[in-house]
Amino acid sequence: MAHLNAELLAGHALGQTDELDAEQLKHVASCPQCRAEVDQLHRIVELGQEGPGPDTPPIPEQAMWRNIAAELSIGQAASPTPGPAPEAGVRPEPSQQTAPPQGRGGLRRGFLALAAAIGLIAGVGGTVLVDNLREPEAQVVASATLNPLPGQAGQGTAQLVREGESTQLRVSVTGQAPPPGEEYREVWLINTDGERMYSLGVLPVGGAGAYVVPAGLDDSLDGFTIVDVSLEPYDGNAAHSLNSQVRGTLPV
Amino acid sequence: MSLQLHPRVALVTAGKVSPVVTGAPLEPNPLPARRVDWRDASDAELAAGFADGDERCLEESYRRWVRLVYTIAFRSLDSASDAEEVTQQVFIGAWRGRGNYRPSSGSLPGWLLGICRHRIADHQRARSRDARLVQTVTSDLDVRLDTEPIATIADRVVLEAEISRLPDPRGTILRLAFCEGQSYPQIAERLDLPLGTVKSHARRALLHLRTRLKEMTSWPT
Repeated sequence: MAHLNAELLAGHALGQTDELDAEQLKHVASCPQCRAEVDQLHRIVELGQEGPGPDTPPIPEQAMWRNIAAELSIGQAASPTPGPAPEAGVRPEPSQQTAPPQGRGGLRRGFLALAAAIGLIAGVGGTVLVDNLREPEAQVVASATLNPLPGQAGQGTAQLVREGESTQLRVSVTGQAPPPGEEYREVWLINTDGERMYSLGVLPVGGAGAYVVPAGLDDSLDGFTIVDVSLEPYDGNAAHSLNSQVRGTLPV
Repeated sequence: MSLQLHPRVALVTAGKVSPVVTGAPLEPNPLPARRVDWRDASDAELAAGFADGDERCLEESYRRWVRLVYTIAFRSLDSASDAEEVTQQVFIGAWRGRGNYRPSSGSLPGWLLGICRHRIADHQRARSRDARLVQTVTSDLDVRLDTEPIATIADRVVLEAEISRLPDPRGTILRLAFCEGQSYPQIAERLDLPLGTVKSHARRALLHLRTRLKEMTSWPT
């Protein structure tokens, strides 16, 4: 017999089997195509029957949008107003209507500060005079020279900088960047036990980057004192390539 | 000294620069383009404008789908800060990569959710790698590998949103049937509708959900 129409299959998936006659029921049981459709629809029924999932925390819609707009240099970091229909299980951001109105000057300054922080002001590359923005109490705790490994070219420096609660590692490597599209460089903190390491992130093509050091490490970084810059192929493998360009140890 | 910041670091830095713009009204921009208000645009019109590079389409897309993206990220990663980072990466990445988006190949939210799934997977990989490296010493098992597939979480979040958007009586019928497990005769009596009508609404609602789910989550990867 012919396949069942979509509505009959939907009825089947919803347990409305009394809407189907014996022949139709028999067909669904034996036809792989109709069976697959019923299964697909039934999965939706099952997901629906689980009911709403856990609530999310309030979503900082406007703050995220400001970051996005600033990063992309679009608009004037204006905030899109929240939509009219909140979705299931999702609480919108608490209204910011109560914030005191700000003058245009304040708004402009605020935007400039944000833009500068995101590297917008100096242009597309995101280069920014970080020192101008830094709080005066930023302190260089330790610095190390990064020397090339056998067979590699290049030289670099790493500075551990403490600023209030946060610790950053600033890395700068001179010498030829790997050919774009083939390899990129990644910054690692390796433990002196030789067994553990953290990936801090990708080193930008320009050769300089600043990285937040993993929280919870003590003043001597719990032994994660070896700064390593590796050459990573675009192979989808997140592990260290075992091919390092430069390396050095922070004296902490 | 001049430093070039990696985008990921840049976002972290941005988070620290707190009170910036607090909802102060901006002077209205002169609107050079054809369409004055994208809010009234259909998803398809918005997708075309997005692909054309109209910035206001990004803003409207954000308004329409940020909650979806954020909720999927939050439920997958169970961390508000990671969900925020992923959400920002999704819209930034989508805008920068809009040249790769073809409205004819699929819906704009479907494309956004495809990017979202990739960014979440990146986060999960980074986490399990960190966990593995750190746990080489303690040799604990990596429990994160048991997390629910992102695709299932995405399906559920999309369904929730779509069910909440169903017009009545269809929405009410489906919620009573799904969430409260009521039988069709019970629902018919409660809503004072003929039994056949109730069942038919449920069937059509289910088919509608299937269509929406397909549009929103089946972007070819």
